[in-house]
Amino acid sequence: MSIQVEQVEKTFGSVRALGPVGFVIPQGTQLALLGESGSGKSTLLNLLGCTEIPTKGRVLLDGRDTATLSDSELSKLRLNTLGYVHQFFDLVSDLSALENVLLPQWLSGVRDHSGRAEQLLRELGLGARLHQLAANLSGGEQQRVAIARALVLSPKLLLADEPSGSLDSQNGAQVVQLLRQSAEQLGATLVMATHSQAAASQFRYHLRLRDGRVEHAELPSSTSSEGAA
Amino acid sequence: MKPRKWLLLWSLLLRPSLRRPFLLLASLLGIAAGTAILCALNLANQRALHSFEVGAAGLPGEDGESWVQLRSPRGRIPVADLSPCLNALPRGVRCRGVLSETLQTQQGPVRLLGMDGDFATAAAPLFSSGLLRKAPSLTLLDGRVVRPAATLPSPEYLVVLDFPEAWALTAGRDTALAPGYDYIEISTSHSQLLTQLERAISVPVRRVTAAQQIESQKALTATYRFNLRVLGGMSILIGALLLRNVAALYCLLKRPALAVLRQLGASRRLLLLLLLTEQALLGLCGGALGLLLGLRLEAAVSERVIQTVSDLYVKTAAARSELPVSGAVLTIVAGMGIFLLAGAQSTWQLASVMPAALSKRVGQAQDTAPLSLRRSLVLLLGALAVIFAAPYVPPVRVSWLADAQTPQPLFGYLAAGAVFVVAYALAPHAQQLWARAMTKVFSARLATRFPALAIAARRSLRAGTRGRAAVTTLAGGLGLIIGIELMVGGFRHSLDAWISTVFQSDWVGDIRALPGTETRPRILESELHQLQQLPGVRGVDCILLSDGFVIGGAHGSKRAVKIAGVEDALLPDRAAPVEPLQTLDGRTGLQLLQLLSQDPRYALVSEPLASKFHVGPGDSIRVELGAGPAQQFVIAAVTREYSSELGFVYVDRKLLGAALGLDGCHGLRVYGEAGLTSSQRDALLAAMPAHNSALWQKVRLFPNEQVRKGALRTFDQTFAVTAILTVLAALLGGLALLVQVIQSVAERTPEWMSLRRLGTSRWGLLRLCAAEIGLAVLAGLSVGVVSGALLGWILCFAINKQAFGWSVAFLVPVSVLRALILTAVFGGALWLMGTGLSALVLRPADRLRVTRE
Repeated sequence: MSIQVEQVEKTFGSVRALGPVGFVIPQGTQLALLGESGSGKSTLLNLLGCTEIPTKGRVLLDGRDTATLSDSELSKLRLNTLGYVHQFFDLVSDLSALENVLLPQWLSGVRDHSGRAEQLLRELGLGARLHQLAANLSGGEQQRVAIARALVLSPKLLLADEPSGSLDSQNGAQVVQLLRQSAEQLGATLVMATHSQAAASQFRYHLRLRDGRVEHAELPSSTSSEGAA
Repeated sequence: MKPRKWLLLWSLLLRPSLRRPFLLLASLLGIAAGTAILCALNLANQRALHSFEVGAAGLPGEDGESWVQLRSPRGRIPVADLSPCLNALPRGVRCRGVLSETLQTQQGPVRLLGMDGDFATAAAPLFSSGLLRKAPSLTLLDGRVVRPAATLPSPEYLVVLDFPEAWALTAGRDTALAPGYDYIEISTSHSQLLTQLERAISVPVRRVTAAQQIESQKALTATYRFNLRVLGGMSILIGALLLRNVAALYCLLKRPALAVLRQLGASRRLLLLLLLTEQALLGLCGGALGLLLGLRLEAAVSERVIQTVSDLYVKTAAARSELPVSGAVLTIVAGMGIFLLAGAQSTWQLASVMPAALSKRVGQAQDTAPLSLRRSLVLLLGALAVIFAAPYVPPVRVSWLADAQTPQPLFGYLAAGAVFVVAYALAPHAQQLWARAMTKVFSARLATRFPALAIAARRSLRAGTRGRAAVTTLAGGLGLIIGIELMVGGFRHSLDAWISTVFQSDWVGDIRALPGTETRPRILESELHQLQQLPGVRGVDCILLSDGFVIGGAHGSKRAVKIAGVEDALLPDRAAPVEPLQTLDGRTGLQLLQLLSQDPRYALVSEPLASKFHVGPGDSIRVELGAGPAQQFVIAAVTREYSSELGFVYVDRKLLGAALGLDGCHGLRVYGEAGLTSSQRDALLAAMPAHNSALWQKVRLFPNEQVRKGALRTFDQTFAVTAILTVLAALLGGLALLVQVIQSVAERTPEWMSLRRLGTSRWGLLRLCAAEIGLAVLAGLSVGVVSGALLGWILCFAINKQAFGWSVAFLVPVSVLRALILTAVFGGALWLMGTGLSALVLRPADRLRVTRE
């Protein structure tokens, strides 16, 4: 999925969290989004993930302006096209690992005939923990469940918000590797926010934010526009 | 709904709910309580209505037939007068003379109907099914036994006999009187024939239809039933507040799971569908539970209602109302509807926010909207405008609520609702005021000695609208209790003062003609003189009663009133038994009674009548005294009167007697000599029956103390229903507070864990909770007192005044202070127990749940 960000600003009340920023990410790109806490990484990811709408400017996903889409269309886009991995995993604690991964299929009405959810969990080393409640899993295990859930409907855009932020370095590195491999297999675009240089070094392309603006951009073509420092 | 949606519903909402049994139970109980009140009040109202109809109608089973009763205000209709009716109507069964009496039996009072001209009594004695359940046979006070030969369906305690047998049963005390009927019932739709029959009867008669009787009873009790419904409505509103809190808590707990769903792409519609389906299922279960509870509750409420109806309006013993299947289904659906409506705001808010906002942590997601002084001021001023306008807005007709065309103080009740808006608007500001004061008191130097209070004060200061729900719940509950206590306390005080004036301590006893004899006086003029001659008797006050109508006033309408013919006070040195509120030329009570006897143009009216007709001293009114043409009177004074909300017109006894063609009186008061001791008084009372045994067969003697106690007991019984509803409201308020506790625990747990990690001890955390709750309770108390005072004011000066027309003193009784302290202690303890215990069990090692729950 290609991403086009045009003069985007996001404000919360009188506080400007992001922008104006602008750049283009071609399909299949794997990009590390860098910046310190409060630099606007999560806000940008929320805008790309269609969980927020920009205050100004446009976010185009495969040419579709997210601001013009209805709630129902945005919901469909998130469900069928996007995969989102959060720093705090966002699993439903009352569901088992397998049920958490099945959740997108339940929502979209797709039947898991091939056992893809189970297969993904086994591939991620959670074959023995399928029916454990999410609340009873370790941090690394929960993050792998979250990745499996993000991948289960084969998204075109994979977003990850500091997926290794709450894990130790070994688990963290494994998770980043897993995300990159999965995106590559699916041919999906991957945008991963991180403040870890070690994690960012695994990516070829980088976008660094500072105080809500693009400080430095290394993208497939020089696409950073207004707002770049 | 598609199977996958059921799967989502079960996995994400229902199953997690089942894992929280206490919350589930609290929710179900909340819904059940609201539904139970609805169900119980509905049934109690139905039962009350049924009771009025049973009391007003003659024999049951003849609804829909065009029966007309011909009644004589002068006395019994001679038996011979039935013959022309039977002759004029070839189908004799359509015309019958009826003797109606209250029969005193060892099983209690029973209504006796003696009939002539009806085949139905061929199988007499007939016992009603209600009576038969209570007693298989009746034993009279003289030992005679009446056994049933057949039964008739009626919930009333009723026995029907052939006329001669009925007369024989009552003849023991009526030997001096010629046999006669209380009324003649005729079934015909020909008005000409009726007129012809009226002329054929030897005494003057007036027509009364069954529909008129029922409508008259409905009008009489409309206010009572209206108040019952409104009080029920208020209890349901408090129940809805509880359900709102339950729904808000549910939404809070479901927030993380729903955030995940939204981020994964679930639409707003799907979320709404899931939440509403879950709430509907909960509402259905709670509603069914409420139906069962309501049926139980109805028994308690109905008993009080029927007792009050019997004491104040109509002697009745209606059977329990049956709840039809459709009614049961409607009740459950209503319970479900209340829950859905109460939770609508929280559900909509939860479903309508953007996914990113939804996924904020629980602690951040709570309502931290800044406090808007302008918004609060607008709410406050609007509510106060409604409250202070209430006494000036006239009552309106709401027949769908009161089953009668009597105007009701609807705006007054709206003002009562506005009191809760005042509480809502004031709650966060009161909390801020207290917090500001505490912040000043526990400044930097004292903060180290009392850290809990210092932290709590500062936290409350910045809480914005966060604590509003809890403080409003506490203040609202407290306000309701204080308001009702103020009204009941003030009312009781006023009633007591009135009783002291009217039932003065120097009279010895009240002698009244036996019940069922409203159309014929039995204490004749000659008997009156005999009583006055008794040794130890200083004088008597006589009263002659009639039912009449007042025509005119500001409305120009015609309304039923009680007419009382009173005697000039025979003893000039004692206080008059009337309490004038407004008088012509500043006359005293005694002067007013003298005026009535000297100048028949004058009349006194009671306060309810004056307030309903908007008349006062100097105004003219036209009154139908019960027989003969309407007469014009000038109002000499408005008097305090609490015995009938219909209103009284007092005229001279001789004038009323002349209009009705009667002498004597229905009741009289006997005054003893000055300085009579209690033993002398008892001796006098005992001597009276012996002096004239014939008179004592038809009258009953009520000693002074018994009358006073009886009046107060009836008052307390009337407000017993109010007390039941107040207790229910308080219980619902308590439950609402409990749910609030669970909600604040859910919100505050992350913060408490942080404090524990920082080194706060368990007791430190408990102290912090206690300090915060103390502040909220202080705020709740201050707002509750203001709300209670406002509610009491509305109840005294708007609702009560407009509904009954009675002035009520506005006092602060001790019970209010007791309620205040008890509510504060109970509410605070409940809150602290729930919140503090949860804080106590937290360990610093408890990890923050990474799933954000």
